[in-house]
Amino acid sequence: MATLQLKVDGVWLSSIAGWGDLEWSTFEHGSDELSWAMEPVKHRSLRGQKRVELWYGSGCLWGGILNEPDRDAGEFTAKGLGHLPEGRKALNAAGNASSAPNVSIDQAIVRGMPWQNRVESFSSTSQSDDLLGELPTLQEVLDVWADDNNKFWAASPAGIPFSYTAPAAPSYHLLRGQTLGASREQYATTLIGRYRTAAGGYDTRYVTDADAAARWDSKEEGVDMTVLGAIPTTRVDSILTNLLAKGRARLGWTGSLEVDQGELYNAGGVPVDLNTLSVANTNGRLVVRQHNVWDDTRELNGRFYADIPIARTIHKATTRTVELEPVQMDAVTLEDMIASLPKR
Amino acid sequence: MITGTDPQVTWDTLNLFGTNTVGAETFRLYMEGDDLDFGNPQPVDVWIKSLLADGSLSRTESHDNREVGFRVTVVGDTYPALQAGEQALFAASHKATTFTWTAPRVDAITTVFAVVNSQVDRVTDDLDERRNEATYMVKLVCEPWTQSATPFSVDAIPVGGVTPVSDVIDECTSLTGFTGSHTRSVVSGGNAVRVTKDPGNNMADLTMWIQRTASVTITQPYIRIKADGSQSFDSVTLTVGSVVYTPINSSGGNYWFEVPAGTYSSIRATITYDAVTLGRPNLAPQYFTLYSIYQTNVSSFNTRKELQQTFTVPGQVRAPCDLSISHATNGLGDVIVYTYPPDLAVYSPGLGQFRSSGGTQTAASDCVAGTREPVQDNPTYTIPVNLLPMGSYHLVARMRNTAVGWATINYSAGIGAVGQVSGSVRYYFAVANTWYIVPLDWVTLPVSRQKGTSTANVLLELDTATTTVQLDMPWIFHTDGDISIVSAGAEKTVQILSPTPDEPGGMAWVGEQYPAGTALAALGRHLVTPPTTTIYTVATGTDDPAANVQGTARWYGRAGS
Repeated sequence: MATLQLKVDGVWLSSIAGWGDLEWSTFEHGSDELSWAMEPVKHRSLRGQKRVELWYGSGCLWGGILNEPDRDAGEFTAKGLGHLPEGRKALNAAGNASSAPNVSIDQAIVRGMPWQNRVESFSSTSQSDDLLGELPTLQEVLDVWADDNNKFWAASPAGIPFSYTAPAAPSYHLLRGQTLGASREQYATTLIGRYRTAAGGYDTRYVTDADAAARWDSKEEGVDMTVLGAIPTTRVDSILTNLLAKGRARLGWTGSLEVDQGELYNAGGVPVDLNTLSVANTNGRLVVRQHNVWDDTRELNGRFYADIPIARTIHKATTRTVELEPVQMDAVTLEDMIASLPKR
Repeated sequence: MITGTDPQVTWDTLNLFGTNTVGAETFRLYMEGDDLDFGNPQPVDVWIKSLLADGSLSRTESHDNREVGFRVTVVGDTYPALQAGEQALFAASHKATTFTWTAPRVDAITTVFAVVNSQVDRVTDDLDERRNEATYMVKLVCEPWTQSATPFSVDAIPVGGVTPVSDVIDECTSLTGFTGSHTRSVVSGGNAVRVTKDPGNNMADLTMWIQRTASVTITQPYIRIKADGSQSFDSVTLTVGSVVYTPINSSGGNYWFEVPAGTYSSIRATITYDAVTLGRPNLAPQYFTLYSIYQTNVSSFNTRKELQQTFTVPGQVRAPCDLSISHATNGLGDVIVYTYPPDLAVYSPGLGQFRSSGGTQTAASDCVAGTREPVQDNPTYTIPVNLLPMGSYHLVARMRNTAVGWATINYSAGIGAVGQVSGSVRYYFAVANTWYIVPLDWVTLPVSRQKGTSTANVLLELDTATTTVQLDMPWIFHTDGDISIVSAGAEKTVQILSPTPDEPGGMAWVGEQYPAGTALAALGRHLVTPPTTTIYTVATGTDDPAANVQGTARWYGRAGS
């Protein structure tokens, strides 16, 4: 099998000391988390904020930055490049709050966010009519833009920002029927968006998916859309519609899929090397079609397969399995539950 | 007393079956047979989920260390001698060293155990205090596989500086002069001779052969045949006269054999299908097809900057190896080294030989392909599916941009036509007119799985909107192989060394130094897998790079050589 090698600050980890116990994960925005164990060594490259890359043979699978290492315990963790916009504000060149994706990304890079320069144009128009004093994070601006345009945003392992969409056909196929239970936790047929008007007040609009309501009964959930101040009602409707289409209007799942090497095939029946899987790809989001199951979550068209969009892939170098967490999986750990709470 | 039928045992520097002198003291060590345990490699098994209604499948991923244990008696004529013996035993423990065992047989072959760690425990016996001897239990934690005592070294040296010559021996257009192991026929279209076995249960390995009986004078160094079969096979062998040859290279269904000059009365090509590959029962007919026999003076279709050789690996199980790429006088430039196991042997990573269409190719001596072309004119490569073992491949291309800046490189692939899978990668060309080895994306090939009898082709196309990007050639590296990419510049040697207890991460050398900065773009853990392994090397800076592979054969227990 091609060799998995780590590079920290441009230095191959193998040239510093022996290391092992590699685990990494990818998610909607690209590289998620990575960890490894190593004998405690002091090296100038093993410091917090240094760039970490995971190479598989001749290609880079994952990119991120090192968290401050716990050298005594010999455990090292890194945060993926996809998480960086969470901690960056969206500002323009003058330092004022901005809600235009292109300018916000570019200025965050100028201020030191370790992404490559933007090649693709996301949008140069402000996503907000009037920020009304809000100071959004870069993540919030990109999320609003992505939801408005029915796209997803991510950073490649090299740090290049790009957008992608749901694929026309599932990327991979799983023959084995490991049954996942259906869950209503995040399901909604009516999304009620609370947003701010240009005058500064609060207002509410809602969008309904009647087909889903007819099948699985209606359920309402609220969405807080005040992060970007005043946004036009067309954008509110568009975001709510796309959120329903991206998956809220179907049942979720109660667990994740654990897949062995040799179980996941491409559309042509060739098993794919599980190490190369990632959620965010330029040619579409990772979707796995599970055959031989009755799709409880999309009975609308009576299919004998379930198309499962994947929210996270979790890899362990020691086994040749990958854990695929579906979108809208029930929160299992306290951390997941907190992450799933609405922001305000 | 050591005689010809005593075992010969060495641990670190100690002779465990005879007299040892350490410092001023002399003592004797005797390994006891009673508690001797060579241990066993510990398999690491995983359970595979399957659709089997009954039963479960498991696969062995790897093996973990074994434990060797034995009892040693130290005999010394004086107390200081006895103490020196105990001290010497302890000094050999708790470190990485070797334990060698030659069985008490005249025809025994020395077997080496690589000791990772060890401990010595004294067995207390009060009577020992009055005697000249003491007993110790030794436990050695060793690498799972045993090794031969002498390493092997294989040189892959290109035949350089010649104009390629191919002289036809037979184009296989008729059955005249051909005999075979099964029903013979000429393939429709008239360009190959085939033997076919009717469908049936295949409980054992299946051997098929085609023989051309006619006098032939061999003057060139190599015989090249083009052949394929209904399933993948480990190797073709060629029997010329009465000697059996194994290929020194294979690519695109072609196999090259090094045959001494002379006049021979027959040439026979033989393949063996593994019973497990065939499946039980297998209801399809099996065949072996021979398309052509040539004699040539070069051993591949690759350009002179590429070197590919399949070599025989001694041993029983996969082993780490040290690779050395070199040229006597020229700097190597950028070096790609890729090793792959026997079940992938049918394929060759370089796509240059499969180019079927594209834009205008301009001759360029600094290119691996010998030419360069604009990527915007859609260079397309047509690869027969039976030369693509299925799996994930990493697509890599050597490209340059005549202007500094970003370019988006698109690729598209499919069976018979492109467009079934596609993707794009953005790459920043930092310096104009500099060739870069650009990692593109992982592609699962063939795009659609094919039966062994399929004659379909995979088409792969590259494209870009940036008019200034030029292509040298692309490669597809199967992820089951191991790859290293090093920029050697003007240096003439590159070494990739496998992990050792002192260097658990392996090591790379360019000349006398560790590759500085970004010179090491990929560092592989290269393995050789018996019975054969293939090495494919590219050196962008010079023609005719040479390669050397060194290692020690690995065995389950008794060394075989």
